[in-house]
Amino acid sequence: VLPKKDVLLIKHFVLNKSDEAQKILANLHPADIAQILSEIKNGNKKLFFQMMTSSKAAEVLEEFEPYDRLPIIEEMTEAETIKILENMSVDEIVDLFQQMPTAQAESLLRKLPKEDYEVLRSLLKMADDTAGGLMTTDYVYIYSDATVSEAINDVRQFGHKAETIYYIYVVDEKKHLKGVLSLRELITAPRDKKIHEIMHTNVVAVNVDQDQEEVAKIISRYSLLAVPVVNDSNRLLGIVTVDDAMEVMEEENTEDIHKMAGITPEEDTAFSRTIWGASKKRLLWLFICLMGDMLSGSVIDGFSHVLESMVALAFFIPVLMATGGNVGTQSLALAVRGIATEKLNRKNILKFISGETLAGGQLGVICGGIVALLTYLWQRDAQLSLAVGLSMCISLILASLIGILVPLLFRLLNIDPAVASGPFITTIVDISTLSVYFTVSTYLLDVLSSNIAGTLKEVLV
Amino acid sequence: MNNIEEIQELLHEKNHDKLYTVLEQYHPVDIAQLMEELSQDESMDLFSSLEFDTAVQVLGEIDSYRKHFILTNLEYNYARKLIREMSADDVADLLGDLKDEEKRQILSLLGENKYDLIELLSYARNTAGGRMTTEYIAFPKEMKAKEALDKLAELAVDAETIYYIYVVDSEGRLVGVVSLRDLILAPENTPIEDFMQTDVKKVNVLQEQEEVARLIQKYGFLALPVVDDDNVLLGIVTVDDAMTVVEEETTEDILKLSGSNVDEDIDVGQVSIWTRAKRRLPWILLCIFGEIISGRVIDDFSSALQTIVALSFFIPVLMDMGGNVGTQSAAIVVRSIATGELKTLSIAKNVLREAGVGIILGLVNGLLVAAITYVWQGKVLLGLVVGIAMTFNLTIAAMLGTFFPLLWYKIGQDPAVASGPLVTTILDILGLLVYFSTATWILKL
Repeated sequence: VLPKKDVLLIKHFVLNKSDEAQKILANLHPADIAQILSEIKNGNKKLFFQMMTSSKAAEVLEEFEPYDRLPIIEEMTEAETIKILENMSVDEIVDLFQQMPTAQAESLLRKLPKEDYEVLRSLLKMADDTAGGLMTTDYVYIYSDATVSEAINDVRQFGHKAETIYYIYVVDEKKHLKGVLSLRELITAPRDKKIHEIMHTNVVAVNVDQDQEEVAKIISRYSLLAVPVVNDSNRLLGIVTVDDAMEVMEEENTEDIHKMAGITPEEDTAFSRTIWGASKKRLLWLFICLMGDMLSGSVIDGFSHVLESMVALAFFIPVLMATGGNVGTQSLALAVRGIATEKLNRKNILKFISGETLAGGQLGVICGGIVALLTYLWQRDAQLSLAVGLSMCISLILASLIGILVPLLFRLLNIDPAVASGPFITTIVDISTLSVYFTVSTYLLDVLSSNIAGTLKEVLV
Repeated sequence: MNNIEEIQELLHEKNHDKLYTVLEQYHPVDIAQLMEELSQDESMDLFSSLEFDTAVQVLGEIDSYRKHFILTNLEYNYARKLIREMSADDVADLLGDLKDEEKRQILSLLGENKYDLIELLSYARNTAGGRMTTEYIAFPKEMKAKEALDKLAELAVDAETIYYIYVVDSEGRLVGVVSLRDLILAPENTPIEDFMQTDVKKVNVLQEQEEVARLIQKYGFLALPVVDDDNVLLGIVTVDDAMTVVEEETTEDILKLSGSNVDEDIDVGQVSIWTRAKRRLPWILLCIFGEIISGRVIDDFSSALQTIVALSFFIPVLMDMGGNVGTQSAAIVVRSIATGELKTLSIAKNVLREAGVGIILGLVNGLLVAAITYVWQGKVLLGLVVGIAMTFNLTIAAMLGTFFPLLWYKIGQDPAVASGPLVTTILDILGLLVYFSTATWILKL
């Protein structure tokens, strides 16, 4: 977003420790500074941080992914680090500490102010991918018997450190969540009203153990700026803000797209950036598919007599397999995405299945017709072209059914539907396509012998 | 949710008092979802028993099709009252979804208010203009903090967000922004321009929605101002809309990757079967023609195949594995372009890096498949042929899968466009060529 020449200028000022640099950095958005920093050599990054106030430095550091923060911290002295940490919000510190060797985190933790120490201790125990791991404890709360003007004063007083002041949570003496008020409602309310008269009691909240993907969905679904996190006895523990929710959503979307392509999700770490690390994530599904594809091969083996008597049958294996695989993957994509965005529900699921199957039938008829024509033009064999066309039609209908039903079945069994990846579906579809193709051709081409029927049985068992 | 049966029962019994108390416990978003699971008439009944304020919020959440049904079947004056409470961007979205005749019905409900909407309607739906709302708060830069706060309390009811206050000059040009937080914390008598942020992040009205969402996410904003070429403030896009955009764009990427042409969202309801088939057809057809070429390759080597029929047993595994690796690479590069994580856009650098990954995947899988082939067929040389073809195939697959999305991106196209089917088709042709050439050479056919 920043023009290239501005970036160069800023780099120049900072690296030469010019006085201008401090002023410029103070006026830049932390996200922009982070972007410039990502182009700076390790070892020079500390110069930037030394020219910023600790609170700005903290904001800039928060812009980086947790594992990218480590090398920056390595450059700084411990005293510098502590000063920045004191200004970071607790949820970000937790993310950072989780990336560090335990000893290093422990030693930094001990040098932080006592109240932060306690909070961080308990946050560090929470699972990384739950509401508890995502939440921050910097929020504004008030008691229900306060007046509106007292509440506004509280916001003024405690608002500086809070992650958001736009929602104010109402609690009792034991910090049980009783209600919520938006800042908008607070400032438009008569000053002498009591909070419990104007607060909402029907609060959307999440449990501390709830999965982070769920939390993000709830924030998006109810269009919230933050959602409170409570424990089983409804005690308010923290809040998750919308910007964190967006990040979770992006992560989960990436995971979904990768899973669809048969890439095992993995925490993004420095390791996954090496070539071997990147390969490893992809191997699991490739192995599974390789085994499945050998099954496809044994289907052909089962019909090798047919193939021997008519080699031309082999010419159409690619087109049938590839088209089936594509149609299966398309249906899969529709189903997985429909489930993820909750567009598919109990009421419309049957309609969806029947609609997509009919669409698959229509694709089957069109593609079958075209491929039959092409086959005839090429081989001048009416029987063969009928066999290829008919096989295409049947296998495309099966492919769209497999593409839709497998993820739905996974969903029913409580397995993440995105695990049914494209490669996985393609492999299943191939086995079905080849079985259809050779069975249809065997019958149509009149080369059926008891021998082959026996082999077919063997393959199917 | 078992609640739906309870609600249906209450609706049939026409027990409106009980229904009212039950619905009171629900968030408007949840009521909207309930309505989508009910029949049209039931949802109409349910809607009529809602309180006005709740009804307005529920109306904002249900799909356009149902919105239209409800608005046109409600009592005319009540419908008019409702639609005037809806936010301008919601009404514009609704109109965008309707057919001409339906549109006229809604416009007539709007009465003279419709003229405010015409401008919003003139922007393409997937741009900043199409996503923005005009219900924002802007104050002149000379206004004092105290005055601004008082004014804000008055305006707060109608605005989409009051947490950012935009500052404009006498020509309506955007000159700064203050958060409500800054305003509340500022000394009462300072003019806004003394404490406003002047480095305002903003987008042009014609900017693509994906870019808008990315900016909101990057900077962690609750809203982003939209301006025209002269920097005049036209509207804002809020973070909840940005979240919707992110979801829509991801859906689009996933569907396009698999070779479906989809311009909007997954629609389970009103799309005809022909439309469903049509949006998937173009890439499938391309693939059919490509794969016929693959067939020609086999044809060229049919004498080899006749000598050793077993060669055909490995066609599926070679074709599939190449396709798989190609799809994986395409998914990774498409996603890293979308999230802005790609370190360099240089095609050569990325393709080379992926080649490294491809070689590793190729060697590992090549060895494995060679071993399996040997165990199955008991022929060392055949195992060697299949292994070599696999290694070569996967390396090329990784490179092609990276190459095409980047190429599309460089020439200004959507990188997700059908990279899957295209890469797979090209690979199949190349892969079979290599397989059979290796076979004739090593097996001396």
